[in-house]
Amino acid sequence: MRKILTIAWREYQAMVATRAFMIGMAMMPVLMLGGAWLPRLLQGMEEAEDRRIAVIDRTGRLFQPLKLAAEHRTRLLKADRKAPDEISDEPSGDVIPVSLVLNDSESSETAAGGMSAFQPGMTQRNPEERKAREALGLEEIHRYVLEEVSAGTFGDEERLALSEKIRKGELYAFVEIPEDILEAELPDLSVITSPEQLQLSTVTWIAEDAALSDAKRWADMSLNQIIRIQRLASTVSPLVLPTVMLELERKAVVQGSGLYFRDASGQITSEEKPNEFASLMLPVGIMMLMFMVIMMSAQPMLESVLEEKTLRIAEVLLGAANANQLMTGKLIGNVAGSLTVFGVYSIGGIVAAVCNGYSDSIPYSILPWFIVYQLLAVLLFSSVFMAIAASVSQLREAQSLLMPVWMVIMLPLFVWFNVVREPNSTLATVMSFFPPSTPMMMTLRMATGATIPVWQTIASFVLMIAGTTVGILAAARIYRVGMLRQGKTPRMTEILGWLFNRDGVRGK
Amino acid sequence: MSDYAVQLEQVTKSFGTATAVRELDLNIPTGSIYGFIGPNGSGKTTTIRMILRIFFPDRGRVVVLGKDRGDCADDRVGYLPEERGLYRRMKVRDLLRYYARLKGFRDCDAEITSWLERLGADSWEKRRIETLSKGMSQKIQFIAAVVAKPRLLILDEPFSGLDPVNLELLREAIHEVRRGGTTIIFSTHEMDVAERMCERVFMIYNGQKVLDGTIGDIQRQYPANEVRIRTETGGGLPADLPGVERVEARGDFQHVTLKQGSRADELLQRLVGTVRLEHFELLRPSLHNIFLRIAGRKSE
Repeated sequence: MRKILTIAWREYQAMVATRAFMIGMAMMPVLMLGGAWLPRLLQGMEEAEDRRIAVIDRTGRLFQPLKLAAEHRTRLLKADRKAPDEISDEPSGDVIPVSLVLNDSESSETAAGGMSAFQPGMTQRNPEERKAREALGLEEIHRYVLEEVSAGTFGDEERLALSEKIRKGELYAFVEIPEDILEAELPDLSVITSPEQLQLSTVTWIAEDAALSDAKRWADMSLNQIIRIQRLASTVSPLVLPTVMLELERKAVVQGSGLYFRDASGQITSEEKPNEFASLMLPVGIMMLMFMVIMMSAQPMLESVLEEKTLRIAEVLLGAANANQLMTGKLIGNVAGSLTVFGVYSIGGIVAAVCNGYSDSIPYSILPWFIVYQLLAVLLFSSVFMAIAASVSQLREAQSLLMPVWMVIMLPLFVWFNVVREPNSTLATVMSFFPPSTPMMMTLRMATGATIPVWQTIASFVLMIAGTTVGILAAARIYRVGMLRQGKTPRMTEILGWLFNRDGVRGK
Repeated sequence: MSDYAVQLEQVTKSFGTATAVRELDLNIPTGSIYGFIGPNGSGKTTTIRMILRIFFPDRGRVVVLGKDRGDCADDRVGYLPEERGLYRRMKVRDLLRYYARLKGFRDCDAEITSWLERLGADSWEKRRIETLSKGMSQKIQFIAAVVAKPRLLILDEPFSGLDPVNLELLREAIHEVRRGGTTIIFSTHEMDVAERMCERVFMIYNGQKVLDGTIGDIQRQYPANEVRIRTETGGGLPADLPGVERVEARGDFQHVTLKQGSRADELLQRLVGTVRLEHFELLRPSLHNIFLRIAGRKSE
């Protein structure tokens, strides 16, 4: 035991007391969160520009309101960039006021349909606000300047000419509105068999980034609203149209709530209303934390074993301790290092949650599970990394062997969204029973707050313990044989062969 | 205390179909400097690893410091491997402390200081290993092997990479350790080094023992058959000398190889009446020559 602890302490120091580790620990969350923040940061640095959009309006009635809608959006955009106390006189946050569409200045602005959830200068703290901003096209900072192109003789030659303009950067996009879009009659409802039969004619949007453009999304929303208003205007009195539009926009909110239970005083009460943001981010955050700790533990183990092998340190160590003591000591040191990472990130996460008003969302009840699964995951993956490092002579060779291992480690990252939405789905359940995925999947499921059947919790835990034990034992065999082998890299079949015979190290 | 620090009895070790060591018997007297000699790939390192209990024999028995069991090296065994095994990023003292503690020697700081001073390395104790030269690293590796005061010290090519001054320093250190009662196994493929350092040598070739005994015994087994001669004029020797296999000129000297069964005194008698001699020396066979003779015989 004394030797194991000596080895463990050195391993821990080598892992934690290095500049690279400190930098890595600081950089890891920055890099991971940076992926989410960087686009916003860059967007903030972007200069707003005018995006010229040509409109070929074959109805002759849609260009003008669409142009007014674009100008309305530009005003909102300017207001949105100002502080809230500076924008009291700015127009309301509706997508398109009915008055703009009908060119009726007397219609009430306040009675307009649209995304009234938007307030200029607002932040995006909840999905409703975000949806409102998207509907207004405010996720993009550029201004849309619409210009009409005569529809009279518009044909392929003109399309080509406009396309050339787009290629040269003189134009951003052009949109073709078919003639019958306002007049098309409602089909006989008795023969409607699919929603597609209700669709109006297709409006064509031509641009270099036609598939994913924000401008296209804005045009889609705006045009449809204008068309809806104009089509209704032909049958509904202008006096009641704003009310009708408002009614069309109104909707009931379906709000999630926790299950009911009887509390200690005998009162029936419900769990707190789940916070959508926390429900999504918390499980992901916990899973990412686990992933980061695995990464920061397994990689140093790989480097440490490779160093000991290539510099022949292993021979000195094996002259003082046996392979099992050496491996155990290294694993203990590695686990201790991982706990340090875990501790630092967990405390940091809790402090961040408390500072941002999410203290109630911290799932203290799953913390013991999290710690146990984290330890098992580190043990399993560090053992695998250790065995791989012992089998090869160079980092390059190790990397090719590690490719499938990384894929397995990252498996839960590919399916987390489905699992968070359906924590008890077949996918989630099956993956919980696959030991390499078990730690991340189980903590992810637990963090959603879903009730996981007890048998699943026990079965997955038992399987994880068994899997980790098998993994460590297999790694120990490979490690014993591999550490003193030099020369060419063994084939995978050869490495697997080491598992089943003791040739190379132990006689009897 | 046993008479022998290490005993190998009919030890065989194979790797797959290749037999690295075959039916090896060896007794290393306590307190001796015992040379392990043989070319690369002859089985030296496998034998050492079995003594260290890194490898275990397929057949036979290995007794080290009176114990024939255990799944790792005895803490009383120190080891300096052929290829240097030092953590590059560790500081000298930290590394020595780690190796000493692995051997169960916890209060090792005074011993470390003493050895660093003895080998003129005391100013490096805070330096990282990666900043040391090969010779410096070699000294640190040596200290790592002896710092826990081993009773058996295994040195595998300890002089490689050392300049003459440091070589002499290390040679003296080895003798000092030995004077403290430690048995030393000295593995080398340089026969001259073994001849100078060891009282007894064990030669292994293709996994089998081919020589074992004191240098004197071995040399007596392989009688002298070379004579070094210099004439007064520095000229060559007569062509028809009896019992001579061949004559080679090496500088001012003529090296004469005698035929088997020929005697050097008969050659001297013949030369006395023929040329004026200035130098006549009967050369005892070096380990190198003996090894070449054995290797030659085995490969025939």
